[in-house]
Amino acid sequence: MSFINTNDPYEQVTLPYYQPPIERTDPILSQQKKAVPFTTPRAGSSQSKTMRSSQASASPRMSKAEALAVVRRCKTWLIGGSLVSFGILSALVAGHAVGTTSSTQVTPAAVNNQTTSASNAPATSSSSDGEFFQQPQQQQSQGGENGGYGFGNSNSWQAPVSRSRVS
Amino acid sequence: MALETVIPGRHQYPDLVFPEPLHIPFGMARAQFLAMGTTISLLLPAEYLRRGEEIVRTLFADWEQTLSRFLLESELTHLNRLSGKSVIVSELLFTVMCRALAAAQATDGLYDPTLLNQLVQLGYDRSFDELPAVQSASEHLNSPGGRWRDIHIERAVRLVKLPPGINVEFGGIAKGMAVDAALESLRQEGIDTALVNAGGDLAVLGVPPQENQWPIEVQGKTRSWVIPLHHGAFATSGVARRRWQQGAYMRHHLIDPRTGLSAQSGLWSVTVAAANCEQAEVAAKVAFLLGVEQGCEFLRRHFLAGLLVQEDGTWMSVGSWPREAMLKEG
Repeated sequence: MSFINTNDPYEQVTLPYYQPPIERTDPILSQQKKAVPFTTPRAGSSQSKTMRSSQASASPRMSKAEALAVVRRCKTWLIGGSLVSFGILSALVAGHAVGTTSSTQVTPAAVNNQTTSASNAPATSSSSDGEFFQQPQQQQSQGGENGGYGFGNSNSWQAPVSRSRVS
Repeated sequence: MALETVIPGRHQYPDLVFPEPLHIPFGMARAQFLAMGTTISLLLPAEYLRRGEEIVRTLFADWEQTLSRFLLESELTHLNRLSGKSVIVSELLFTVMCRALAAAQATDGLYDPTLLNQLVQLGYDRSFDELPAVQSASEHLNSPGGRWRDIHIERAVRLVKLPPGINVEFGGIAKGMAVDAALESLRQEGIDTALVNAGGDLAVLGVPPQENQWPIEVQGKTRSWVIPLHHGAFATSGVARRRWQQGAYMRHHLIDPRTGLSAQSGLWSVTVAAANCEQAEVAAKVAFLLGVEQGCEFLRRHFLAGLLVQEDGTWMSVGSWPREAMLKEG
């Protein structure tokens, strides 16, 4: 007669979820896995007990002391990494102060190499002499003799609708 | 039906007087408000007046808030304070900066956005409405311009670095670009007939119903003419306004970058017709600085039409400018 403790997860008849076996390069464990194929255990069967005992011996649990040592090691690395990152960032800021007049903040490290001096090619859409004053294609219209702008009929005087004056 | 709507802005400019009534084309209406130190006037189809005015008013308020050198909290003021440092700027400021630099390059530096220090030393150190008509002589010697060549920009991150101690101001080009942007916003709203006038720099969209052109009054020194604009933009630069006395010298705001002083070109004003207000504004200013002969040559070279009025009141037209309209008026 076998007794199953339902509070112990290793003693449960069916595990709450199925985890596929992890492939490993260790030859001993690979042989064990081949010798004991995974099957859904049945309560009270000797086969399931054998399987449970072999699984328990294959993956030993880390002791509390070892776990604490790992955590301490991680903490040390985290603190060290933060200090190094902070130092690098401070050096970058000191070397290249970037102010901002808008809400968009960009760190110097993010500034790429697409730089321009005003005397080279400053314009967004056009930069050369001809392009700045370039007039669009000639429009087919009554007064469209010069493409981008045109005058109307000068034969009859009309009351002005607006003024162009020195501002 | 002629509708006239005059809506003053929040800020009152004491010396700005709304112009005398102008003709309003059939089916259209006018709105006016104050922004960027001048009067903004709109002509729109009557049914779109409120919506159109709201769009344009908002746009000009944003532009002024960003680009005014007289507002302590404007983005341009911040940029100028940080001259010598790399600064990430807004898309609007960056776009205007790029266009200003393109204009400087296209005009061999005659249009120069880096003359703010010279302008301040000549006495234009506050909004023109607050400027005293007579000031004491300055002990500073003005230096020539040209420092726009040392402005460093990085397009990918909208970074601008002004040379140390150099400040920029966009003045006319910003106003011209705002007019163009306002028209584009109206067009996107489905409005296909409009006129936007920012203190004399104007551009049109479509033609008014039943009239097929926009009669525009162009002011000379002693008289004015009505020029029929079909499409495009007008801008006028001159010394009729924004002039003051500094010591024994009469100063005005059109600074010649070759000397760092108010230009003495023998011209009273230059009006230019171009595809857009940005071009017209820059071309008018440069032609003014160059004087009659070189100014005419400059406009011809760029296929622009213009009217150059000299200090003695005589005038000269360039390109396809409709001389017949002026001669007919006598």
